[in-house]
Amino acid sequence: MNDHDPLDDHLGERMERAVGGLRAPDVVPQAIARGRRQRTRRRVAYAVSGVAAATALVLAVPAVAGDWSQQTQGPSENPVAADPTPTRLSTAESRGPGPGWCDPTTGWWSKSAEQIAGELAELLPAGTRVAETNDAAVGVWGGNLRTGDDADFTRVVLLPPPGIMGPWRTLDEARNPTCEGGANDPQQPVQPCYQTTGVLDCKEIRSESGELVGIVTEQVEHTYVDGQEQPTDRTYFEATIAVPGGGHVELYAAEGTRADRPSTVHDPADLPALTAAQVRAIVSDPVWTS
Amino acid sequence: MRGSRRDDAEFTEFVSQQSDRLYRSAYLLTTTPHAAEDLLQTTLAKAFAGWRRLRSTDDPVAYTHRILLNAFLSERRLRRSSELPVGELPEHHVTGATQAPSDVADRVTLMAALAELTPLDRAVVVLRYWHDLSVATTAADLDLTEPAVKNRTSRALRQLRDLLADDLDLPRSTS
Repeated sequence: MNDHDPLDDHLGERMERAVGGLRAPDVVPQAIARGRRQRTRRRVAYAVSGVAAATALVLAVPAVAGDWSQQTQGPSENPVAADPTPTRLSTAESRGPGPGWCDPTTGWWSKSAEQIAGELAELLPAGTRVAETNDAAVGVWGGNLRTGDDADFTRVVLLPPPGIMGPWRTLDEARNPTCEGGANDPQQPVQPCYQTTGVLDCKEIRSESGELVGIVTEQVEHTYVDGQEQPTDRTYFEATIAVPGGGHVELYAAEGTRADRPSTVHDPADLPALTAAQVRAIVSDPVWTS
Repeated sequence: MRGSRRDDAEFTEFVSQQSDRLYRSAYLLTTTPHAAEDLLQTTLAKAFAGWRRLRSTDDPVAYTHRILLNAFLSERRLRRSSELPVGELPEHHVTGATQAPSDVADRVTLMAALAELTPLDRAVVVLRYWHDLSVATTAADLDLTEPAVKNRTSRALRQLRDLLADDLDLPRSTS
């Protein structure tokens, strides 16, 4: 530094003495929860704006919990209900048709965007409709759900099985699908509720054979600035269900926010657009398995 | 181990190694424990959201500190508020055995002085004296010119010297 100040000799040391013994508070659970929501919003933003991104928002489901054991190999061999372990037993990888499985021609990705949207619309409660969509490619559909004019934040995400080209594929790739896609991890892993942390409530979705195939959680996000909690959309439901071959379907329904500042101002009188039961019913509906 | 779980484990491990340093930096920037905790949480949330990209960078630690700095400056801009209260002692975040009472008193005095600086001047001081960065690096991190960093440093030191004169037994500024 050009102009030497006597404080030069002291300030660094003084700072070290002042804060050197401080230990960080444990904010990791909250940070991870916020980070996951940021990832989710990015996915939505990409999908709705039509950006071809690896985390685009999509909808469709080739699975139903109740029929799981008839459609895949292995689940009855290792149902979580009968043999719970600390490891993630219910990922789609563990119950898919087997290593190397990939069928680019049979599954949700083989449906048209209109078909997927129509099938979803039939599952929605009265007053809730499919809103912004992204129909950029055959078999790919993405968008938000809307109830009235409310600014609730609701969306469904499809994560295709490993190896299947997902929503980020080009139109040509969609028309001529190959098994060259990557693995896609769900925002919320399918794992026994006893392994989940930082949630208000957790319900497991199990197949008739007792295998864990999905979970529905209720969570709350708290954002603090200068020790004051900020009025953001706080309560939300998140449901994840694993699908044959290793894919996942997720549905996220957040507590309402004011339309003029949808991402920042919480409306205390509002509720998530869908109840936990509705969220569960949509992701596990048999329509997605056919 | 599937990717998301591996990500969580790696991220948690990374945070366990870095969070104290990040928090101390946040404390110096914000000057209050609550604001430092908020800033740390914001930083870690952003880091987690971009973890797969962040961990592949040459220097994830530096990248995370950059996130913290940007979050601090961004928040200051959004709040349009340059000063923060410094009325509370932060003992509840301090590991009891690691700091003597004199260090706690030091911290209160220093934070009160730092709080008098503008956020950008404070950031300059923290980068230069806490992170021991060069003028050039500080300028790059704050998107300032090198002369601007020198000027802000000089101005901040003058202020701090006056504010801490009694404490440090330093001559007061004559300018």
